[in-house]
Amino acid sequence: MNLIGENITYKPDDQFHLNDVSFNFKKGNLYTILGRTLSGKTTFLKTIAGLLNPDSGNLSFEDNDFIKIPVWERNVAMVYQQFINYPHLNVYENIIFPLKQRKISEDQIKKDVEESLKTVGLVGFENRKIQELSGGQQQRVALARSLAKKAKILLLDEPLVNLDYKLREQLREEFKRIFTQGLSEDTILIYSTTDPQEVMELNGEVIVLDEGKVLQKGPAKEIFENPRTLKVAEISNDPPMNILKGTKSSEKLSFENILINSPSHFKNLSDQSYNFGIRASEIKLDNQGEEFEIELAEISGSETLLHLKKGDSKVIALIEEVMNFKIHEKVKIKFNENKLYAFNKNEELVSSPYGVYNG
Amino acid sequence: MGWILLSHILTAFFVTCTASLISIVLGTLAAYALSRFTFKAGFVRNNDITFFFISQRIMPPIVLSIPFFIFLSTIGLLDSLIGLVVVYIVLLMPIAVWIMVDFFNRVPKELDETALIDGCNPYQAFYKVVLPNSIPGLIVAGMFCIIFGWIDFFFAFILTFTEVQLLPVKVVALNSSITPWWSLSASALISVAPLIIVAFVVERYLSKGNLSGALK
Repeated sequence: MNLIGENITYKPDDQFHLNDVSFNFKKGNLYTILGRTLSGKTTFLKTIAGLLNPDSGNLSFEDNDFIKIPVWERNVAMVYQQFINYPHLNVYENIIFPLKQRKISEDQIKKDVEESLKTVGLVGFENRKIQELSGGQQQRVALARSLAKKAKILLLDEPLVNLDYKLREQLREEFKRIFTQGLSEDTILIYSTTDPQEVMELNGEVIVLDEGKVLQKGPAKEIFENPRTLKVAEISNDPPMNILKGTKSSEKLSFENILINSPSHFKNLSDQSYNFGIRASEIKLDNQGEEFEIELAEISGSETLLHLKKGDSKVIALIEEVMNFKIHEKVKIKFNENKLYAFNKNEELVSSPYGVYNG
Repeated sequence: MGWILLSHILTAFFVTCTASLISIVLGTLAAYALSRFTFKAGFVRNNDITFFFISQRIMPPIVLSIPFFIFLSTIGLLDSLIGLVVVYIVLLMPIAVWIMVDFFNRVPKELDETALIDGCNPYQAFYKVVLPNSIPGLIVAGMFCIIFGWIDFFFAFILTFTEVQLLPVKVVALNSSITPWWSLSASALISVAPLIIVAFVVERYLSKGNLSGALK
């Protein structure tokens, strides 16, 4: 009864858009697809919707071969990152369009539309033209249209990307509310995004996608605590996790002339060279620490992002207060060694502060 | 005199409108196919097919006149309404295809895809979603077809003799040894008037053409 994909590959040119992707999506769950731009997220969703046919692999839903069913009979709903609505129809007509297409009775349509308008908070806008709405409202109409359909598979392709910061925050919270209240038990929700923060907030099952390949699957917490490879660590953190090449020798870690104590969770690691990973938020200003030169200081909201340099190594530090720095100024920072990750030469995780990941 | 001129106006009107209508209908369908689907035949691709349509208008009309004359006389449609309509379709359809391909390329593909996802089959997606949003394009294409059809003197002059005579030909024919300037001026004004009316009516729709609500 699930949505099952087996070894789906799509390669329209010399580059893989999807490379041997397999999954098993259960009803009533939220799945997020995390990946950078051009990682194949949209292709993934379009394949499920039926807009693209994979070169090889199987896709089945409720024990039917999904690939043989054309798009218009699949009963899926999709929200694009651009706000796609029918410009020649008003808000109400936009939302009833798919319902009329499926020949649902008038009374039912009225009820469904009212309900979905209430969910997205657009009651009273029924007769507005699409062009008269703001970007956020247009995206709400698109969302209402896909909710009113009561489709069994709901696909959201980076729905917040084209919105401004405040609206994004606001809609993100509302999405969470809608997803927890407004969805029926037998809906599969698939949400794609480039933003790790969104993934953590939505807290569903995560699939990390890169160059069409699934890098890691698991709950959001698992991805955050134990990114299986260096690439996952980069993709699933914003700013990306700092990676420093270094070596471990008995109780010390050294990189770029910096010597720090080896944390307790590195006890079982053999003495050799590693890629050490540390989140930007685990680097603190400290007068006892190592001296770095500031390359760039960004202030965002209530935080300051410091791009630091020492020798060849560059790190990004996230300071949780607004501070003014001059470029080329020297600051002293300290790494929180208890939150260090270690990746081996094959860029696989060998030790994490949340326990070693085994397979 | 007046009644004869009226029959010429009606003939010209009939030929122009019929040819324009058929060109728009066929041209829009062809343009949609060229814009949305990929065709491959040997080295021929979508762009080559589009260029083929436009290339029909690259040659000077005089080059086409003799083949057309021979063609129409062979199938017995010389000096007939239908023959003239056929020739005009050949001349007008490239314009319709050209304008509509460009227009459809600017309609976001996601709009069709959304229609498909919302339960339309490809034909319904075309006439329920894409076509209603292409009215400005259709009006532009239609206007160009009507203008080019209406002002054509060359083919109307060569391919018709007595049975069918279009307005521009008649207007020129008035210019004989003793030119009746009053009739000539009046009929010239009548032959221009429809275009001016068309331009005024259509101008409103041209500026309104936007798809801003589809994609921001």
